[in-house]
Amino acid sequence: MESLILFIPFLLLLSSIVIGLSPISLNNFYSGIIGTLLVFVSLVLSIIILLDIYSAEEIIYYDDFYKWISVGDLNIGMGYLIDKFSAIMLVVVLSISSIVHLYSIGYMKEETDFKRFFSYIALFTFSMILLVISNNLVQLFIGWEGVGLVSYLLIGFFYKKQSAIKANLKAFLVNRIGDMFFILGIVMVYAAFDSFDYKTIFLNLNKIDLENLEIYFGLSYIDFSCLFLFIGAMAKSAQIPLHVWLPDSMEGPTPISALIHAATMVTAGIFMVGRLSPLYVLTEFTADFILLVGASTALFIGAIAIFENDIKKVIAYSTISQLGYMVAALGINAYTVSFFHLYTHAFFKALLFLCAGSIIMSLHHNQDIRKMGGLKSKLPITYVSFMIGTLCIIGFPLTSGFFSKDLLLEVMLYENSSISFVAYLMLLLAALVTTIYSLRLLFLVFYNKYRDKDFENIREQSKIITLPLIILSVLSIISGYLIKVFIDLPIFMFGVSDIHYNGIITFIEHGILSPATLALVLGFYIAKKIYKDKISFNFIENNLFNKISLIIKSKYKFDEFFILVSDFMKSISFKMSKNFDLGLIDGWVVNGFPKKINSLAVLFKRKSSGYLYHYAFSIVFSLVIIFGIILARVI
Amino acid sequence: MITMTHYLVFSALLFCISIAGIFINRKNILLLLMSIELMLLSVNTNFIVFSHFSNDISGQVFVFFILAVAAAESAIGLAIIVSLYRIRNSIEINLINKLKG
Amino acid sequence: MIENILSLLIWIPIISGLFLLFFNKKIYILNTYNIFINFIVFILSIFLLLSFNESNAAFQFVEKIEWIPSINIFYHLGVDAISVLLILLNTIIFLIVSFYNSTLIVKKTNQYYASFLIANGLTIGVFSALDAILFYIFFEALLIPMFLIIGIWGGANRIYASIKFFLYTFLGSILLLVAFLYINSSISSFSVISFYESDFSLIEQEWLFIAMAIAFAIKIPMFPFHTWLPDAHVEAPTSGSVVLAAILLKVGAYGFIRFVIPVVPMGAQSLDVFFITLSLIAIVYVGLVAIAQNDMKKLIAYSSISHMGFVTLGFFVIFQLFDNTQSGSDMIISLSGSMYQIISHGFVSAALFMCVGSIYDRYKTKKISDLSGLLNQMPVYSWFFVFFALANCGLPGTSSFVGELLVIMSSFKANYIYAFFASTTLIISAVYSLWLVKRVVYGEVKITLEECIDANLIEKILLFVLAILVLILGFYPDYIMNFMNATLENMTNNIILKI
Repeated sequence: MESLILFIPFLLLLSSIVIGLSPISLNNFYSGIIGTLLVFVSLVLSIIILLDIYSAEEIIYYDDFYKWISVGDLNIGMGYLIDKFSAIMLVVVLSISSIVHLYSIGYMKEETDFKRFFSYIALFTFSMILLVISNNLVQLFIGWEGVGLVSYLLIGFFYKKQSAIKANLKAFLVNRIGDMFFILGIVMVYAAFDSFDYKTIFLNLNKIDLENLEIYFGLSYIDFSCLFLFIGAMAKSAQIPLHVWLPDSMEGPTPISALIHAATMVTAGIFMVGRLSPLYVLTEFTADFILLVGASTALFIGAIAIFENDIKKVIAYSTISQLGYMVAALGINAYTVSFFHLYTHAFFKALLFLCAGSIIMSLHHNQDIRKMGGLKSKLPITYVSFMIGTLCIIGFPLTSGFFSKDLLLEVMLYENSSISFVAYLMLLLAALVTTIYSLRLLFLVFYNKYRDKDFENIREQSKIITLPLIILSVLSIISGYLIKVFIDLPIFMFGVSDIHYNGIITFIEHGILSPATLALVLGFYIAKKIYKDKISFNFIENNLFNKISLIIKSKYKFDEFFILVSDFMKSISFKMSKNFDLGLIDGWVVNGFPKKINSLAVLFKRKSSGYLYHYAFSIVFSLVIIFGIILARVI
Repeated sequence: MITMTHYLVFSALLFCISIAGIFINRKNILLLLMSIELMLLSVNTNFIVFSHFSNDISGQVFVFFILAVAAAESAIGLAIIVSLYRIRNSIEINLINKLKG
Repeated sequence: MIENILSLLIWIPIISGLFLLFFNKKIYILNTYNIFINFIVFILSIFLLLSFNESNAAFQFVEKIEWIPSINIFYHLGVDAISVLLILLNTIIFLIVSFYNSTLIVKKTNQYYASFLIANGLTIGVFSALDAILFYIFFEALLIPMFLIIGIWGGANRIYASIKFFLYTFLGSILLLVAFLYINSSISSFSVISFYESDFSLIEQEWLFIAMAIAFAIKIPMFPFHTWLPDAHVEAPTSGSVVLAAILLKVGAYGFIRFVIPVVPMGAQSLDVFFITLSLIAIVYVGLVAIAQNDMKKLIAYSSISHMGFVTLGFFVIFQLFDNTQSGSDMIISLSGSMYQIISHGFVSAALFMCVGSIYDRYKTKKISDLSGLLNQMPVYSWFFVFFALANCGLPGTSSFVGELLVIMSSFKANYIYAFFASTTLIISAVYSLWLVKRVVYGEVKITLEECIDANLIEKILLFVLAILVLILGFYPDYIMNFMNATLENMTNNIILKI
């Protein structure tokens, strides 16, 4: 069974290389089929591995494929660590990836760069697998950067569009800010444990005297390393203030937004913290930091979605907000709960994006929701799927989002600390916000009247587009019922035990009676009144409300802030280049030195008159002086 | 009795005269040449004096060599002056300052 | 043959290069001849690699012939693992350059090729000389072909650049000669092996260190001695830039690891903070300067300086590492990281300069502001360009990552502040590399060529080979790490004994 693991990344790499370097004669359609088949085979393999792991007690597959580096006492391998946690993640990634592969055959069929696209997504899946199955931090980082790279390439897929190439540069650079801290975090962990290997690190956790490690600025060593690692995760999982790249990343083709910027890559940060949970349980400061970052991201960034008019960007902001939920759960060490939300979210968010893709295709690349409406009758399959996705994201009872979000809020409430209570309230409010913007999107797109021309020609896309929607709809609904599996996951978790999980029926009863349902109902009422029935409330005219909405519409000026910083750095570098490097070092010192010698030579040159008797005189005069000195010495 | 000192003082005087000739004379290049010859002669005198007083003939042999070379030098010098005169129509020293920087 | 393989490696290219000076024939004959000689040298270096016993830390393939016995100068050659790897890098790069040259049309072709052949031999001489004076002679002689390549076949401002290059490096080497003569005066030997056994007082070591370190710091180049490099790169012809970046800079780095650190470790230790600071300035400040450049070659030149900062950082943190951990293992890791960075940068910068050179050939401009949307006109080239730009910013999976990771790791163990500044390169290098890509490769076309020629077959193959090398080195660095291990272990043990 273990030998199958190698095939998963290998098949994906093969797919990427074969499609990427294939001769032009290979038909687009067939190369798409090849890619889809290979990723599907990987999916089957991963499911086999998952079942195998669950068939026996406490199986962990752990080995190296090969030695990457061994020098001195340092050993880094390229290998795998497959336990229940990574096996589930593997299946989630591969299933979303194979569905997106299938969908892309239809979605990208008119693109000239079809094969480049398929090569990229195979490479992306490969890097993501490398990350998920990693057994050491360096391999994790390699996969981490690999997915960042492919994200960069895919956002800039339409490389002629200025907005696309701006967005991809921004995405990469913001991620690099995180990576800088991430690599420092990795190195800190290495410096403490003398190994990058998870096994060694976790086994030595008790042996190493953490009290003796250095303390910087009043924070313990572990606090700092976890904080740095988490800053890396903040960039990848788009948390405030490093979230700025994700809305812009919607410049990429829509299947990519589903695969990379919603379901898999952005959850890498959550996965990483879950993977390193034995380290994270040791921190207090960092945990609180994570909690606050997550909760505020969930609320504040979610609020932006209410005022956004680009269908993909609305979903992108909702992704950031949902990621905030997961991060907040990490902050109270409820890793399994966070992972459960990651898992359900992957399906319904991919579903929402693929629906958006289907709508955009039907409307000939119109993404502005103000120009949509009434599509219910024209796009029935998309409508139903979108409806299911929306119900999931707002946590409608019995859908998958209900289970995961409710569990998350429960756990948050049971954690007894003031910070977590504040976070709980924020997340509850965020649930309200989520309901409003999700239903707004649903109402504006599918209800009322169409607000643009050419309504008659809109029709549902071909089966290759709708089939993935149907599959994902089913998955979105049923995935929540695996809640028991996640609660039993053998990674560190606290808080969950307090709930006394007594079977699924009790949980559902309990969930429906929780405050989250209130938020759901209230949100539904507001959204329906404003966006469906077009009734305006008094409070919309209110001054305070206007002010708040202006602040939200400005997206809290994060973009402006980053532009300011980058302009500042740019002007500094231009100034340094001009004044310091060319001016001082090169102009003044390096070229100044020969210039000084030259001017000295000119000075001496002026002193020579050209008259023979002057020369003769100076010769004799110098001789006399020299002899005089010698004579004086002798005497 | 004329001692070696007298001879040496004489040759030194001769040398100084020639130097003065070089410094003071600013007009005629021929005089310059003659001063240089005089300088050589003063050195030759020293040779002869030392040779005489140390009973060594080789000093006087050297004088012959020097005289021969000096003659050749002045011949070349005169030739240069002649061609200089042809080019510039003057042999005034004041005008020869091509080395000026 | 095996005993004299080093002499063969040195003299075959030099003699055939000198022969080429008087041999002006049809261009295809010259091309064949040039490629043939470089290929022979390459095969010989592969042979050297294969027959080298990497578990033996002593110098191998030693040749020692009396040369000027009255002043202890020998014709003394020998290699350890470091030299073997650098010789191999050298022969690969020169082989690639010889192929690349065959696609160009240059004036005085035979002399152009001859300069490269001679430079090839001399560089191998630098890497294999075990006699300080012999090293010095090769080191200096190497300036001549490079000076000619820049000065004769360079761009508009070539005279200024070549003289600056020559005088600057020459200034440094005088100090090197003085240091060698001083060492000889006290141990009466010029042999590197006896240099390693020398025992100087701290103050002597400090002075010797300063003299030698300045020479190599100019060559590598370190901040603030770096300003000759951008000028030289901008004016040099493409092949010259490739050799300059891939080989010449490594001569400086080689000097540090062969002469400075093992010979005068105490001197290096007492001044290490200063040199670490200079390295960090090179990484951060020079990286920032690179962002501001509008000339592609200058940008890559500055990025080379910034990457060389990692090499020197890895060299100089070893003393603090030893203070902190009292074990040689971390020192080996740090030195391996630096060596790996050297090799990796050789390939990446060579490829980048080749890409820029080819863009210049077609568009007649190197200014970033003049170019845009190359991807539309020359897709193959552009993808290679994107790949190598990504490799340049240390993306994992490419060779540059390995060196950077090891050096950042080691510098963190020495002092966390070093690691913090060193890791800013992740951001800075991404900014200059990818901003360059964004402005040049992506976007709409600015200059439309009448006939746009994408990479020809030779260029494609060369870039492909370089890309594969970069990837192999990135995904499987263990071979080279193992190869260097014994040598570096021996070296660190010697250093530990001396400090």
